[in-house]
Amino acid sequence: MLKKVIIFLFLSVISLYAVEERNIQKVMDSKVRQVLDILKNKTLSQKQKDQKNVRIIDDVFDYSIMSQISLGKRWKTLTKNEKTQFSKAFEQKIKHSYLDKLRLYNNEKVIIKNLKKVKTNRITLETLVIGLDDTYKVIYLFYKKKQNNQWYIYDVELVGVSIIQTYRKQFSEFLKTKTVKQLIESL
Amino acid sequence: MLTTLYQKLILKYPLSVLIILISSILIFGINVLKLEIDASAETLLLNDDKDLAFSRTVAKRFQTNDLLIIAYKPKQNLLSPESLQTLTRISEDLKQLPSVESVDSLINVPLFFSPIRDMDDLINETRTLKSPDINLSMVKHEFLTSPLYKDSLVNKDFTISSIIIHLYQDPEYFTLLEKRNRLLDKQRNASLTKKEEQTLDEVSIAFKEHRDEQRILDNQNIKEIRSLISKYQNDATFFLGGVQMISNDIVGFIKNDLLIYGSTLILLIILVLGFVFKRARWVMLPILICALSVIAITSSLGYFGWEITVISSNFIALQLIITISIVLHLIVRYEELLTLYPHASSKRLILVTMITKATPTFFAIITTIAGFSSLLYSHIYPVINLGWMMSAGISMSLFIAFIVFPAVLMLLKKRPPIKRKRSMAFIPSLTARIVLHDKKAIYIITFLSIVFSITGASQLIVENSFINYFKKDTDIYKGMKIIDQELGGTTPLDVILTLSDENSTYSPTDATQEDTDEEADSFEDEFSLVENQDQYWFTDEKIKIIKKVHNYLTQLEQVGEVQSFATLLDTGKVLNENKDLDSIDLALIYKKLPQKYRDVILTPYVDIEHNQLRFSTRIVDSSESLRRDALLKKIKSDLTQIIDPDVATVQLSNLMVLYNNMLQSLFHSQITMIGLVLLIVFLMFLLLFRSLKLTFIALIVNIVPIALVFGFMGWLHIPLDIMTITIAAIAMGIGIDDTIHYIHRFKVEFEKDNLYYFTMHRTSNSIGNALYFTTLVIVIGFSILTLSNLIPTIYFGLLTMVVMVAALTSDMILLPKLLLLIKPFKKSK
Repeated sequence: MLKKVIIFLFLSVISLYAVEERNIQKVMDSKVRQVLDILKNKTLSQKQKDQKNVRIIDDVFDYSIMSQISLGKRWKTLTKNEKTQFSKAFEQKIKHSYLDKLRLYNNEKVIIKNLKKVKTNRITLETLVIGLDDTYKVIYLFYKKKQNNQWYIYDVELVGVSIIQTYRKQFSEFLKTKTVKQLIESL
Repeated sequence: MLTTLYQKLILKYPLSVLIILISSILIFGINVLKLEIDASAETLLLNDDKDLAFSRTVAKRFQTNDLLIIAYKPKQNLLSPESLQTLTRISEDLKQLPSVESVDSLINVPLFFSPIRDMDDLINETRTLKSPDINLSMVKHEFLTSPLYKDSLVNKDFTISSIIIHLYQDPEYFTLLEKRNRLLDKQRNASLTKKEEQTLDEVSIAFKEHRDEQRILDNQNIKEIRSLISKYQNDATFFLGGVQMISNDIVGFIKNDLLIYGSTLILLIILVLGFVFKRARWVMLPILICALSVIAITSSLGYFGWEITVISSNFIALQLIITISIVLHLIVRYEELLTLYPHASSKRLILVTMITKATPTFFAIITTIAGFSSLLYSHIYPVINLGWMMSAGISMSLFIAFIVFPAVLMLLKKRPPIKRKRSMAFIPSLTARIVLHDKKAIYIITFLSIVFSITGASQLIVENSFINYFKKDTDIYKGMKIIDQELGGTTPLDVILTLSDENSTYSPTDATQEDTDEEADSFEDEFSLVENQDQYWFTDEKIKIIKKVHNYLTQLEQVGEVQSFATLLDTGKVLNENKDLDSIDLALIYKKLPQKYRDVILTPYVDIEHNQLRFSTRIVDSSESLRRDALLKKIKSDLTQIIDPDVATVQLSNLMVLYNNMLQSLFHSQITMIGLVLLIVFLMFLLLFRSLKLTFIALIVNIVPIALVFGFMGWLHIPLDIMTITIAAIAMGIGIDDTIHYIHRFKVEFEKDNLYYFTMHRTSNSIGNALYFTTLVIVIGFSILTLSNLIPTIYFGLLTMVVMVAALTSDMILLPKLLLLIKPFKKSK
């Protein structure tokens, strides 16, 4: 279960270019298919697969807002330089983690369901990973960026677990006894 | 007044007095049937131990059940069809027993790595040895290497495995206990209403009744398990272990000792009395007085509902010593008077005997009570009880002896005094000769004894090893040793980490103005809402701490099995292609894990609600290098170094801690109290002798044998434990009696001619006989205890013998020597 859930999470956390609301499903569907194809391609080395997949997802995630949320209120205490450093490090962390879990992919099927507008600037997209014995729900959380009115992923929730919340909690505990500098180094 | 009492009542109506006394003791004696023996772990705990309350909370929070462990050593390979078949059959049989909740063994524990499968498969289908297509060599490898099973379910050689019996928890016990303790606390801190007082009485009775019933059931359960495994003895060797079984076996041994060694001891005492005095009356009378005293005290214990525990199990033997000593002093004095005044009337002889022995005996008993009163300052019920039991018991002995002895003698015909053979009484005159002629030798021996005592005492260790309670050839010892050394240890110790609830050190004033924007705030609100959900509890920081603590505990030599959340992390790592599970993996597992698995792998080790982690360990009790107190202090101090105190606090819990607290408390209270008791005894001596010089002499004479006992214990590596630690009180009680009798007699004899030389001779040859006979009777009688199966009883017998001989030597040689040297008595004109 774990493997499947994790794979699926990262399979689908994949690449949505900043999108308009009406295109979200379509883009998602396309990107998932691209990643699945890459994963199934036996002619590619692991390194090549990783590179291609990163390219697909890179500009859909709003790493900056994800970093900000993951630090919570503490974000505001960071200097500009620290914010840049942290965002960079966190982006690497998310990508590394994603690629790592993606290697566990095992031919599960992915179904993309409907969009749900929870607020004027929040949309969720529910998807299902269908394995042999069980089906797992994965929800993508989008927000609308004020500056360009485009939608970006700011979190993914799988089987009731928010990825960004997991990091938030972790960083908050880390910062109880250590500094932001140490956190950046540890990432 | 005493003379009048004897003349007008006891000596006048001896038969009536005897009938009334004996019949009331016998009628009251029916309460003996209510006497109970309790050797449960609970009796060894401190009354007001905060760790006890904490351990109970931990047991409740982490839902830990009591366990019994059977070490199973089949004649064939562990995984052979025959061995597995026997295991299946025995497991099925065990499950049928009413106290057994479940049984875990090789045949039903889940196999995770045989072969390694996807977690989905693991959760959907639990594979065990019974599943089809099992690869036995893979299974063997899993048992030998899995963090869950290695060194606990099977031993390193794969020849022995554990059958773990989970016993039903008894919720009523804890409900009643909590209710009772709540009311007791309230009673201590404020007054109870009448209704509450009534409730407290009712709950206390209900608790006792329930515990008694439970104890019978526990005993029954162990018996059933034993009889069940005995059916399979042809196929394999079995050893039963577990805390409950230890207390059960100790009760068995105590009962056995009380019966076999108690009766043999009495028989031996009869023989020695017969040999020494060669008169039926001098055998029957001490035995009658001893029997009446023991019946009186045991029926009182039964009446008041006091239980005999491991610690107080020797109180009957102790009472026998003191009672015999009282009676022997009376006999010797009577015989002495009879020899001096053969034509005096029986009544006169008896009266003088009683009157002249009343003061020294009374003071001897009072000082003995002072010695035992040191036990009242411990915080352990059984030890306090032993103090009360002894104080009450010897008071009764004094009372009974001073009524029965004269009354019976009045009813018997006066007989001519015994002409004792010289060989029988050579010791008193020998000691007198030593005192006069071997000045240097006495000082040198005393000096050497002091050196021996100090060097020995400096080697004393305070330890309480249950495995060392039993002889090496007993089944329980063999079983415990196998479980202890091969299958993960015996005494449970829990390390509890309470993680700090405080938020990060961030303060909102640190925020820079430019960054306060609406969008960020809306995310903040959204995420703050769910941040305390359970699945987010598993952070990398916590995982790091868990692993650090687990690894630290594992590398400790004296720690056997260690189980914690880290065990699951290690298992998960193997399943996750040797990659550590991170906080996302764990949150997912937590969310998807069915409750039945949570109860097994999570609940015993993680309490999210209270932010606590439990590391369950078993200590290798038989490890020779084990120093319990030092180990606990080391673990606590090391973990405080390893873990930032702002992140988590460390507490130790479970039986290992409780026993250690009890022992340390006992040790410290004994050390503190020994000073106080010496002060009390000093004041009593002062009151009795009205001479500072005499008081100091008496104290020195008593300190030497007490120190000698500690010296022996140190040199023989006998640890100070819950049993042997009371020996100081015993030594004090016995030694002081001899000193008082000797000095009292010396004073009386000195008044006759004011000559120290002759006084010493007369005293040693008269009272010396009583001291010598008492010692002889008790040493020979108690030698039988050294054959017991319970090591504490052996030590008790051995140390009592040492105390008796040391006290006798000190009182017969050092005391007269000091009296001759210091000359504390004023010459009367």
